Amino acid sequence: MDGRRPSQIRNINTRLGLNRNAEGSCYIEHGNTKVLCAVYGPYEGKASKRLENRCSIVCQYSATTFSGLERKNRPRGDRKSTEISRLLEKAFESVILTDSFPRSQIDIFCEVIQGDGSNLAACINAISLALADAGIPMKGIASAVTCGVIEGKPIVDLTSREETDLLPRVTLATISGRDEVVLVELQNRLHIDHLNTVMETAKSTCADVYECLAVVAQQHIRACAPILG
Amino acid sequence: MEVYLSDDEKLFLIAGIEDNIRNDGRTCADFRQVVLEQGVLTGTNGSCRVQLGHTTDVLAGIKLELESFDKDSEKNTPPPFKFFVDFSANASSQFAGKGGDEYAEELSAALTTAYSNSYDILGNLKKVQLADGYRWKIYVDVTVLQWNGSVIDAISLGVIGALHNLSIPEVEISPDDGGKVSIVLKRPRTGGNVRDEEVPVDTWKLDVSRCPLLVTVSKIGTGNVIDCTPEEETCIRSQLWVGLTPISNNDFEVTCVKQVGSGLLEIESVNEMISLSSGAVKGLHSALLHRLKTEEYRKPGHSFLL
Repeated sequence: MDGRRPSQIRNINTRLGLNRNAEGSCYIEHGNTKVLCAVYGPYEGKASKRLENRCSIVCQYSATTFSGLERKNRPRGDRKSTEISRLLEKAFESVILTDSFPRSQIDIFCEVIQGDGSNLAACINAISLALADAGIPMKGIASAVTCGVIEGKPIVDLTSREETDLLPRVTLATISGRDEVVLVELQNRLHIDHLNTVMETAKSTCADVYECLAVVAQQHIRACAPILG
Repeated sequence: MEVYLSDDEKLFLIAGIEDNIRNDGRTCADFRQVVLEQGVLTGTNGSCRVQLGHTTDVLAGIKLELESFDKDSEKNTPPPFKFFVDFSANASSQFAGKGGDEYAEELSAALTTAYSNSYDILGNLKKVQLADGYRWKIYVDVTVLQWNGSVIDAISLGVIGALHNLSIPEVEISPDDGGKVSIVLKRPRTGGNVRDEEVPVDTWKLDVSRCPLLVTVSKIGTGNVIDCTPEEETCIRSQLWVGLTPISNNDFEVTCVKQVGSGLLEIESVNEMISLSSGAVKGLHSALLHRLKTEEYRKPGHSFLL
């Protein structure tokens, strides 16, 4: 639709460590999708959420009221954002080495400033980098992408114009661009014959996105080296 | 973000303020550095981002919606603005969930009060009334991305920036069946009833030169302070929000006064605080108008926060 080839992702721009109050923070752009993410913790959280053997993870997804095409009434608390929050929580419970911080809590907050498709995937990428910025031990950097199918052919990194009501789309997240899947979400109906091709494309695109994120993380660590000593 | 200061540190701050010197070298009537950028979001009709002292960070976006109303039941036309403030959890983990809602509500109420006589302060606002029964509704949404004191000051600046950036499309109104009207975006016709979709729609802008600025004035010790840092906010006795709108070159009208938080104030000190704020706003207002005029518009594809 915007002149890309089917397997081409949009430009990714990032900035790490821009929030001074948070332990780790990240701003990411996938084309016109802009997400801000902050990580607080690990700290001694609420007693009700405390787990004896590992740390608990609390995610909150919210989108500004002016982020979409139509104005929203509430930035968070509706069904869709709650669902996305839970999805993110579950995904990152298996990415973060939660055993390292028993009895503590990590807060992850995502804010979609401008949404132009693939919001969930952009959030996952933002969180990965923010966690890396916070120095929280993980199995690897998680990367994600949203894939759709038009006439049997997979297209990657959908924009909001492409995310129509009928188009089947899969959001896939893997660790370090390898085979370990942490999140799959399918919307709308998809013929089972197409599933394999979509998953293959999504997996290889995840690996591409991972390359981008890894470069950013490494650059950031190098830039921080003089401070860390 | 919670700040903990010892009694001695507080005493040091208070003694400094009573001598008109603050920890970061400012005097009591000085603002921190303000950064203002317009047109940062392409998905909105108008947007603005304001940074105060490198940390307080506010993003304002405006969306327009066509609204129909019953012209007979309404006696006075209400202001077309709808203000909404939201604290992003990114700003501080205390705003997670519903944590910031009450404070945000207070802020949007103050904005609504300050803009309550908006037809007087915005000269050409009448134009949003399109025809009998139709008008533009202006949704002004503000998100606080980072919080480090004096958030209402930053918000009021952001709102003015976004209103200045707001471009409202010109429309053509033609009578339709049954006493109704049809509203079409103004585009040159290529022939008959076909309009040229390639040409961008003509737009018009609001005149924001008389928009109200809101400032926080705080009483610390016996001194009055503008634009507090979080450290200074721990020593506050009482705080006042003052909304000021310029009426002539050097004169300001008060559109909103509100005491926030706990603490007691004497009548005389309220007057003192208001006069201090009007003095400080004078400088800020002329700087703001200068910035709005001279800011270079960013190239498409250039992204903010980077």
